Amino acid sequence: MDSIAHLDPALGTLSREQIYNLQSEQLLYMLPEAMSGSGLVNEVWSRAGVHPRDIRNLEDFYERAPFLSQDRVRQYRDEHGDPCGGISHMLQRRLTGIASTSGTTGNPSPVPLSNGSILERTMTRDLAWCMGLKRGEYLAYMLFAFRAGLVPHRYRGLGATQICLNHSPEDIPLLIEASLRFRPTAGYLLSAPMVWAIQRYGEKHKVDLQDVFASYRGFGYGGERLPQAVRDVTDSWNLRMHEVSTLGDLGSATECEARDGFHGWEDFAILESLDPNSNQPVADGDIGELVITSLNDPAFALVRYRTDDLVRLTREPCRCGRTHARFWVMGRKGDEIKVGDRSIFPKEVTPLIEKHPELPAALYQLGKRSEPLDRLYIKLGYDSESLQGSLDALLSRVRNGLEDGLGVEVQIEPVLNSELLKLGPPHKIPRVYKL
Amino acid sequence: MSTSAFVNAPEAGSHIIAQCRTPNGNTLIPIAGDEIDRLRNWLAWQLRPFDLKPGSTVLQVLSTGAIWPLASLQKALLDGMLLPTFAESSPFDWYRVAAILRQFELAAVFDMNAEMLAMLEESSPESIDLLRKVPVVFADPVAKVRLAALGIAAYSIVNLGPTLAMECPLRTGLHVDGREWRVREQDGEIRVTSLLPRLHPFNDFATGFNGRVERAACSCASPDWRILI
Repeated sequence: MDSIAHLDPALGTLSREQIYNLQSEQLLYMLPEAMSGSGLVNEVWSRAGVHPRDIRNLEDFYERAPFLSQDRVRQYRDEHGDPCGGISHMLQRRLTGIASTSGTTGNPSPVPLSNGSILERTMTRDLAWCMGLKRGEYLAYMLFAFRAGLVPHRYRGLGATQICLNHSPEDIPLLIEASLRFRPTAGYLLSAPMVWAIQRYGEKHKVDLQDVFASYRGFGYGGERLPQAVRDVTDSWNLRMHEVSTLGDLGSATECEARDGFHGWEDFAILESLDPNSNQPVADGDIGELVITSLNDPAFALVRYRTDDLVRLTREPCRCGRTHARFWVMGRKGDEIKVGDRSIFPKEVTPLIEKHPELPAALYQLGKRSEPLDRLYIKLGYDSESLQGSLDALLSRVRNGLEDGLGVEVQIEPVLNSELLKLGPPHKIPRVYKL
Repeated sequence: MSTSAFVNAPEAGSHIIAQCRTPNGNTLIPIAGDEIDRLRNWLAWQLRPFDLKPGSTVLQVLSTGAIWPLASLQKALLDGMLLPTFAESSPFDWYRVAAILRQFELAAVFDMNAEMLAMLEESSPESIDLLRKVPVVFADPVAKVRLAALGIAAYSIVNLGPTLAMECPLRTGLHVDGREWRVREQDGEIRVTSLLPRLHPFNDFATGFNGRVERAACSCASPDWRILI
């Protein structure tokens, strides 16, 4: 990535009218490209009887454009043998790779990569605007490679140098060495297991973690919501954490210094929050499904892509001064568990588990069936070495806390953490399993 | 910036700060863009005899910490108009490797490691059947032995630390870029010395790999020296 024109601060404070005009204009260029280059968009739109020439403005788009979904992308990939799932409108020879989503459902979705992608631009913006990374500075970069490949030049346009580390406790000594030697000003990403591992390492080896992290203006935290217990630990290091989410599968979305929602950059994508049943827009601040349309990605033709993320979205300006839409993630549509009439999300369960000192990593899975359940079924991860009493006593405490907090009956199956960790990275094990 | 300032702080001229594998654990070194490109050019040349069809998809099993030297391999694959897809080298990502083997008709797999292979055997035995159908598989030395037992004739690829060494289709030893590195053995250990300018030079670097050096040209016509590990 060479150009950093997208870092012009004026782009972060566009008025709603400017955003509307920009999106309207870019949409009219993007749709014909997507229709001609993206097999899936062509297929879905043709079946719906809609053509880009039918779309003259955003209102037409909202009224008539059909939807894409993760399942549809995977279906296209499997039917046509297209590794990009029909969502790339770039000639394959110009792609720089195919990354994939975390795949917490066990079936990762393809993410076509290219130079100048929205993924690159959102990550650069998040680091520069939200975490304050500047020219000539260092970035401690610990993102899993499956997410974006190995791109040594990604932040060169910004003039920053990546220090490349594994997202693994084994690399903690190198993280500490790099932090003390190069004094990076930003980091990307940490997770709950890594924070706990760093804390334990610091205690064991008598490392002054405040000194280690003294140069950082911010560090990204990703994978799932930032638990209060983890925030307390990083606060003790004087390290400011910025939660990181995704803009669908299109790019990243990060909290700014106000830490009040994820910034979704509306000059890159159209963000909608829709009732998943009626497909109608929900009111500002109400819960809806995040639907994304890429406006100017060189490769990725996501058009009205249903993310399966339930969010609250607002278009009110942020306290930081930026005007683009912000959203808060409530949970995955697929992670919603129905117990009687009650909808339960992992977001509600995690705090009730992690408050127990023996369960800092809060590894668990929730059982799900298509029909509502009579109780909440949980596979609860534990570590034998962390038990402070008997396992039965712990399970009893946890069950009582969950039943009090959620108002439903709970049944717990204890499982060793090591078994759950076989299912994925520690902060991304699938939260739901089929009963 | 003055010359002395640059010499004293080579990282100021670096493209990335990467990890270099050493026998005693990884160390951080500055890497310049042209160092990445020199290895990329050599790897692109090494890949040509494998006749990987342009437009094919290949799987790279890798990690961010291994950006050096694997970023050069990623670029070399793109130079060959191959499309890389990625999985973490950590065993937890076995399900992604299994999914990629199911979903893609792969022309090659790069850098299969022993831990990942063990997880695939345990958790997704059907993946081994799919791996047998991949025309070209590169693996670390331990994984290569296990793959052979599974009926898969893999090629060796080794991260020596400062650089990669890899077999050609003739499988007569791992080639090391002779323009970039001088290779010798001492007490049975392979050592390398950098010949071209680098931000972090290597002088008789002990790789930790036991083997011997074959100085005769390979029958593939490459003048590179080879190491037999």
